[in-house]
Amino acid sequence: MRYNIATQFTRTPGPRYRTDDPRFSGEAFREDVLIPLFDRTVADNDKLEIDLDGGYGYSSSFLDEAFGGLARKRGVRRVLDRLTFKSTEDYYLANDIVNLIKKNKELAA
Amino acid sequence: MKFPSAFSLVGSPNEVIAFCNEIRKNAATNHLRFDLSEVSELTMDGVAVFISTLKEDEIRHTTKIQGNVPADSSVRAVLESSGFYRLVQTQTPLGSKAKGKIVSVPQNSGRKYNQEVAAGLIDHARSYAAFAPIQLKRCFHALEELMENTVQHASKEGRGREPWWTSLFFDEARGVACFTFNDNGVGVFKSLRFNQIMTLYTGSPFTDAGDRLRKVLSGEVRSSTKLPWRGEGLPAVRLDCDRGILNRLIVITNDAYADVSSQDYRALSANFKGTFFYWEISSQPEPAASI
Repeated sequence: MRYNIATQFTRTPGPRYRTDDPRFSGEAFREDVLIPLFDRTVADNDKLEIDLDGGYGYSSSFLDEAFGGLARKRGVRRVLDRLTFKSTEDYYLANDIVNLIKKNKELAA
Repeated sequence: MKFPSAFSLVGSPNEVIAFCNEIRKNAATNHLRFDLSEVSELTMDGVAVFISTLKEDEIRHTTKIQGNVPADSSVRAVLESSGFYRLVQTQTPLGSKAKGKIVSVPQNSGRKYNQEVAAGLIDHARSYAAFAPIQLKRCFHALEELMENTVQHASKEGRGREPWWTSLFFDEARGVACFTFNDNGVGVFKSLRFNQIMTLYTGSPFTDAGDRLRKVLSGEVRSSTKLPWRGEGLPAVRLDCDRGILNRLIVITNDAYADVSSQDYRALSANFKGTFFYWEISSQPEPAASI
């Protein structure tokens, strides 16, 4: 399964919490989009590719609340097993997100 | 009030900060008249901080402001092309070739998170020259981090109470887009609980101001939320400078100055009210025309 944030969610992702942006925050993305997608991916024994290209960019807060938050709720190992990230426009981004997710593993250790 | 001859926050921080503090002091009891006639150096970052000072609630509601223009035509051109005159009532005709954009956000939205403003500045940069996608994306990232930082930490009165300002200027001669972001809030070191956090991490709150700022930008001093995954914002902006995506990152807050690219962290003699960021990105050469 593939999901492009810019075309399917927003080109201007916002801050961490819904209190600062009810529609396009990392929290809104995680709760309304990412967790349902992830759970369906697991149920289908599939993989989920997140395409990060096409938008203006991402704040660390958005990315952490979305993907780090998913790892805090569903587990670091499970998330890393199912999710892959694609970004040709920002060649650091995919690795930065994986590191954000892994940070939760270090915290749990 | 006579302007300092060199009005550049990045280049002459102590002089510009002292002048802005003097504006606040004088505005409490007087109307203001500025003499810019002998300014020999004026930069966009200086203009941005000057206008944000004039627009502070305590000044704009109570003080009449007048001023002349720099006698030097090249300095005057910087002021005219900066976007300054769009934000003040003036008899000076507006030039049609403005290269700068100081964002004037509505009173309410400029105190809140507003990614559309960041997107607008990125589009503005793109209209001047070609930049690599990663440069523009990391500028958007920096603007978002700084907005969130201001909304959450800049005001003593609570979240979203402090206005913020952002600007873009395209330096045609160098092919460089220069961004600024500032608020005139409490500053990083005076934000709530900073000293307690500093004590927790270093054992002492009384370290050199430059070193304190280095610790904040490197991530050694973390978020006041105590959530271990928080506090990545400012270190992430610094990392983009280390990676060479953003150039010449300058940070000024309270009595500290950092030129991240050259590892110059030092204490200032004047105290900046709030937090200021400046960075540049270099445009890409035009692709050779195919024959």
